[in-house]
Amino acid sequence: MTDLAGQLDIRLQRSGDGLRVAIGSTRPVTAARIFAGRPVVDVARLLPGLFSICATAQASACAAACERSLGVAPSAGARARRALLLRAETVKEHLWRLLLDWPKALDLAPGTTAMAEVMRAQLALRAALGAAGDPFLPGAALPAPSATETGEAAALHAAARQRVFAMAPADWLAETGTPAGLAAWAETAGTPAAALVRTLLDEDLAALGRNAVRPLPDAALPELAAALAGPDADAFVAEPAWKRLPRETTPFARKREAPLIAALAAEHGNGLLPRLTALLVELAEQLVALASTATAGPEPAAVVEPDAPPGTGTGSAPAARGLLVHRVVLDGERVASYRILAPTEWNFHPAGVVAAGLAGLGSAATERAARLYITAVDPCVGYRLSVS
Amino acid sequence: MCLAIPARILEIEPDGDTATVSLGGVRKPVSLALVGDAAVGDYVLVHVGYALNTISPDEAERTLALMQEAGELDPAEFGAEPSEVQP
Repeated sequence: MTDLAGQLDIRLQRSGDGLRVAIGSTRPVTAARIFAGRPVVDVARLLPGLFSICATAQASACAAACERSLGVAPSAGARARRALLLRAETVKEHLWRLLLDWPKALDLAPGTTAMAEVMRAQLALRAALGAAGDPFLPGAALPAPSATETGEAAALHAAARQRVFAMAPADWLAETGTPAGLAAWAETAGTPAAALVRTLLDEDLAALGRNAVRPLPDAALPELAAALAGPDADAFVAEPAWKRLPRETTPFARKREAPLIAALAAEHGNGLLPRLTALLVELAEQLVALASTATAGPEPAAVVEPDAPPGTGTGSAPAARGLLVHRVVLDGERVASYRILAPTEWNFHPAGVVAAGLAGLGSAATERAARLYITAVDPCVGYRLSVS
Repeated sequence: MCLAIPARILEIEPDGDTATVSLGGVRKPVSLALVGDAAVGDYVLVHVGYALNTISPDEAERTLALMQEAGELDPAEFGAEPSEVQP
């Protein structure tokens, strides 16, 4: 094994009575143990460079956990910068799904040039908003971001307009508030993303993969913190469950109460079309928020473990793929333990939403259908799929 | 989990879109389609077969050292790379 990122090994076996699904993982779910013994401020600096795919979400959760453990808080300006950067990362990730992953899964042309521009713009935005100091250091004290520092957000808007919405994201949200509105937009918009929606509808794939696994509710966070604090934390982060059941944490789960998503889910459950549409809705909303000129940033998140002893902190962030949770315990100024709970472990749990979705494909399952559903839930890692 | 691996660019194809990198001492192809101006000798972060962005040699070394510590890598693979041709 030369690649620390690990991979998922997904095996489907057709049998007389359906499809057997086995999901194995070599993801290094306890890699954060290497931070034990280091000064906490060093960990805050190093961690996003190690977990670099969703470096901003990782830095957000880390900062929140470390600040809680230290009893410090960032300035309002730092909070605003963090919020902007997190939105930009989610935009970047959702555009990767829409421009590259979904087209490939549906045998359509990927938008690589557009995605390269998105990567450039997001990295430039990150550099600009961090030039005066790292907004994610615990207790960062930075002024509110200026228009000059957020200029590169325009390039993200431009890419989304051209390749996804064909209009301003706020207008898209207004126009596609119902399934009929979404279908009408898909017919006329002429963008590659519209073609994705049209393809799902035309090929009767809207409900593909639907299953009974439920979303992880926001209210679960205190119990998750307790599990991270407990003696079986390592086993828990590898195969998390809530109320003894696997749950999903995804853009679909996050947006399931939005009227459009709720209406689609009423018809198609947690199948492909509600998932794709949740990406579109979230992308639009994040772009609208990214353009906001508010300088104060959102209110600080509620403290997850109000009764925890000093030197303990839990932080969470809505990473692009789902909820990310960090928990740190300090020994003085050094980290005694550091645990991370990532969305891919929820979603690719051996009995989780992807396992259930794939099993539901039944003995007629094709590799294409399996790849579509895996893409729609999207692991943060490469995978090997075998169908026999 | 959420890891992109630092890798050094060894060769770039004439089309400019594909490169051979050293990933843990193993030569692997990656796509440069998402990266602006990467050159032979540069370090890039690699995820699912794509180079995401260039990083400084210092940051690459730091990240690789952390990964080594995580114990999943054979330290010998990250020493000198005998198959690499110096430009």
